[in-house]
Amino acid sequence: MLCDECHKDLATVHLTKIMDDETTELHLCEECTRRLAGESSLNFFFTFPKLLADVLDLEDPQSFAKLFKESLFEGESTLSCSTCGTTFSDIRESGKLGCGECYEVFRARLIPILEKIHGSCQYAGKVPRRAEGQMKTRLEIRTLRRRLEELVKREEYEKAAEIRDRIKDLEGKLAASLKGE
Amino acid sequence: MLNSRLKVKLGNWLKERGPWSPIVISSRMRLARNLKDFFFPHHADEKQLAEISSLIRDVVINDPALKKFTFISLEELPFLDRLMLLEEHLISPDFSAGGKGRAVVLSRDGRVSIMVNEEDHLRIQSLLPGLQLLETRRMVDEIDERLSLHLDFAFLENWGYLTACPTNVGTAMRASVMMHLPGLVMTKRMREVVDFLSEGGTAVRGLFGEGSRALGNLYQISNQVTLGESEEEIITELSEVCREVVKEEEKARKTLLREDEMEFLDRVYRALGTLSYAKKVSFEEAIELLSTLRLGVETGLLPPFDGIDLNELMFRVRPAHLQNFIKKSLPEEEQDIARASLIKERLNLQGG
Repeated sequence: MLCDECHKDLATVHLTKIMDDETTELHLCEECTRRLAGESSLNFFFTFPKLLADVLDLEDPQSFAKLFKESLFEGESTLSCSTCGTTFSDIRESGKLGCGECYEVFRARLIPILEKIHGSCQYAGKVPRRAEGQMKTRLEIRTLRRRLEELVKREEYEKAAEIRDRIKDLEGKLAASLKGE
Repeated sequence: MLNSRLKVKLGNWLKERGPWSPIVISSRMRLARNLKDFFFPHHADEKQLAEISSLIRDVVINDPALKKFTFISLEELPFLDRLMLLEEHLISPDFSAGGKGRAVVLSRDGRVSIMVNEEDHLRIQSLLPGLQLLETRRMVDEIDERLSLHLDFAFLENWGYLTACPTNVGTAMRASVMMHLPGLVMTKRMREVVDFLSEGGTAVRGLFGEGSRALGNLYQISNQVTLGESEEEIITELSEVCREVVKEEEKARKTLLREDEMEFLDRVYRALGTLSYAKKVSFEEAIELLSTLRLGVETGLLPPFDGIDLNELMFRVRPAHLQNFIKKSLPEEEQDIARASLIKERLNLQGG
C-alpha cells in the first residue's frame, strides 16, 4: 500500500481516526508521518504536556477561561476593572486577570469557580513578611486554628492546649487594637 | 562552536541520588509572585515590563544575600542556551521562546531559577534530586523572604498571593515530582494509578508528548490545590502520594520479573542491542530505550554500567544538551548520528 500523502513510498504507519461515528483511515510512509507530526524532535519540548486524566489542567489558563465562560449568565452586563480596564470578555479569552484589583472587582464571579476547584476559597498559606497589624494577627490566628484542629484530630491534647492559649492571646490583642481604632 | 552565555553549571544534580531514587528522579517547587501596583505581565506594556524587570534586577544585584545569583535578560541569551534551560526544566516552553522584558535569574549551582515576566512577574523555582519537596520549598521560601524585604508583593488577606491566572491564587505554589514508572506502564496499571491520583487532587502529566503517551515512562505529578490548605499540608500530602506510587512501581517490577521474565528480558536486551548497533538514534527513541535499559539495571537483569549514570544520560541525549556536550550545533539528522555514538561511547557498548 502506498502512502496517502506522497503516493510514492510504502505506507508503514496506519492510523484510524474516529470522530462522531465517522471513521477515517490514513496510511502513511515514515517520512510523511514525521513531517505531519512536526518536523523536529524539539516539538516535544515546546508543547505543554497534557494531563493524563480528564481533570482540569490548572497550569493552563485556558482551563480557567473555559470555567469562567461557563459560569456567566447569558447577556450579563459588562463589568470592567477601573484600574486596568480588564473586562469579562478579556478573562473569557485569556483566562487571566489584568491586575490585583481585578480580584476585588470580579470577586463574586471568581469565588464559585475557585471553590469548585479547591473545595475552599479561604487562604491558608504563609503569612507574608510584610503583613502587619490586624491582618497579620488575623492570618496568624487562622494558621493556628488549623494547627489546633490537626492536633486535636491526632489527640495531642497537651500541644493543642498550648496553641489554644496562643490563639486566645492573639484574639485579645486583636480585640484591643480594634477598640483602639 | 557554541558560545554559551550561561555562567552556571547545569545538570550537576543529575548524578546525585536523593531519597526514593531512582524511581523518583527529581522534585521541583515553584512559587508565583507579582509586584503590587503593576499590571500582570500579559496586560502590561513594554515599558512596564522593562520597569518590572529592572526593579528585580536591582534587588538581585544589590542584595549580598543573593550574590550567588546571576540576572540574565532573555534577549541576551542564545537560542541553544534557552533550550538548555528548558531541557533542565529551569524555564518553561513558552518562556524559552523569548519575549520583551523577560529575564531569568539563575543560581550558580543550577538548582534555583527565577523567571521574570513569565505568566506572573516572578516564578521562583528550585530543583533537587529524589523526593525532597520540603527542602525545595525551603529553598524557594528563602528567596521569597529575601525578595520581599525589597519588593512589595500583591497579596490580599482572603485571597493570598495574587496571580495572573486565578487557578494559582493563594499559596501560588506548585510542587512537582518527576518519576520513572516503566513497571506500571508495562503491567498496564498506569491508567488506574492516574485515575486514583486525579481523584485526590493531584495532576499527572507525561513529561514529554501529548495525550496518554508518556515518552520514556517519565511522569510528572503535581498538586492542584492552592487555596484552603497551607504549603506544609500540600507538601505532606503530595509526598505521601508519591511514596505510594513508588511502592506500586516496585510491586509492578516484581510482578514483571515473576510472571513474564522472558518477555521482560527480551525487551531489555532488545534495547541494549539497538543502542549497541544503531547508527542513528532520535531523541524519542533514545529516551524510550534508555528507560528500558534503566529498568533492566534497576531490577538486576543487567549489570550496572561502570561509572555511568543512566539518569544523567537521559538528559545528555536531549537535543540542546547533546549539542552543548559535543560543542557543535548540528542539523537534526546529524544530531541523531551524534546521539547514537554518544550513547555507545558513554555506555562503553562494543557494537559496530
